[in-house]
Amino acid sequence: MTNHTCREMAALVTPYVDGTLGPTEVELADRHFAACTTCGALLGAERAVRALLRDEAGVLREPAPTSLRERVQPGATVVAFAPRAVTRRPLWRRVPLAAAASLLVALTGIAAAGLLAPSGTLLAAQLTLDHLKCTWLTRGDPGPDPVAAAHEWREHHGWDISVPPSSTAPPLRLVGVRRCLFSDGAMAHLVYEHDGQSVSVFILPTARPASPETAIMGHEAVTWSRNGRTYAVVASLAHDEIARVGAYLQEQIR
Amino acid sequence: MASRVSRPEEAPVPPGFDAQALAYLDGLFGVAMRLTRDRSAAEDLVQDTFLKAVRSAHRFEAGTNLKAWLFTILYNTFRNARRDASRDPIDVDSEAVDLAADVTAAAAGDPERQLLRAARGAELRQALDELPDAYRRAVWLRDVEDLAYAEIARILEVPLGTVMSRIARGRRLLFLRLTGQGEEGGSRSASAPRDARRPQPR
Repeated sequence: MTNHTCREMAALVTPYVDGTLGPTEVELADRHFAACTTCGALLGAERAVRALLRDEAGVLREPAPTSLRERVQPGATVVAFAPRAVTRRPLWRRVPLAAAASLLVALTGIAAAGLLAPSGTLLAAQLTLDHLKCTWLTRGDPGPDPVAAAHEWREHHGWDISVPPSSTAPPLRLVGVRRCLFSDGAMAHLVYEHDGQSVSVFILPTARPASPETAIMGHEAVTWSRNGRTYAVVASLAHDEIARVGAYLQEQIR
Repeated sequence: MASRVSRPEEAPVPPGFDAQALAYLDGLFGVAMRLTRDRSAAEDLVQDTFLKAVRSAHRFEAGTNLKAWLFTILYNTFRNARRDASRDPIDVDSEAVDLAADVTAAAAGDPERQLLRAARGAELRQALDELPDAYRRAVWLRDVEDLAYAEIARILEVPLGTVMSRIARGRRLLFLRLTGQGEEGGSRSASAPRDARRPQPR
């Protein structure tokens, strides 16, 4: 670019290629680009790249995995925000509807107890979706290494979590460590199996006042805060079972 | 005790909203992959995007571009989830690199013809991935997703002029790489941070 005019005209190359210039500018640009080697080359290069990318757009995007497609199907999405709508559509074919509903009640109970204020219902619904999704997605997984999973969490999210390992008493098997949907992912979700039942441990990166136990409609939840973290254990287990699980987890998380 | 345990009115999702949004799933996943470079993180990001979109569907203005709106939510979600969101690679915009001389030299023949031999598919994606983040994001939203400058400006939260200059530089740099001039010709820009999470001292 050798003079002021050329520099000005060069700025028109990109909008020219994208077809966003007005007729007067197009006319000016046409005249200049035909005469100027530099601008002509820029025009040719940008136009060629644009054409190539548009041609290849379908391949470049990568198709979304089937698992993701299922996760965002309308039924799955609607239940997250409008639990009353579950009767309208089939949701989560693999999850019994009654289980989903009663778990939701349990989670709402936690919300009412103050742990998950202020947007209790919404969050409870999100946790439900996350709990169902994760327990379904991780079914049959060999499960991560707890130390590696905690390390990876620290790397990706910038704050520490403890990941209690699997145990034989109580019979807990770690099957997954995930980011929970709530609050832009600022919540960890550990998924365990307890004799075929799913146990969810939600970890918030802040300490919140929480009632120690909540029991609603057969679902039990244990919550506590320690060292700037708040923990919520949710499972469809008997009272003494979840008490044992809670005690084990509290023992492990220090 | 929770100050508010139930939302007063659950706003209804407009009819057909889900299906329309689902049509952009591949596009959203493609961008999420570029942003996170990790399949499961990309899936989470897209799912979060859908949840938020449905939650605020009643606020979507009919007649505006649903696709641009979804990408805006996706980028916002990505930015919010990142702790160092404020450290976007602004510095790439202040680089006085217009690549004009390099491109003039490289595009001496017929540029379209030169790109006929260029990489396609996964290799082309790889070449895009090697561009500085700021350039790739702008070029991708323009040329792969066919969004307008103003929409891209809103999504990326940068001025319109910056969008245009990033698209310009991104395309030129990509042209140089694809025609095999990238290493020597683009050396100045190639040193721009590949990833915003690893900014380089300047």
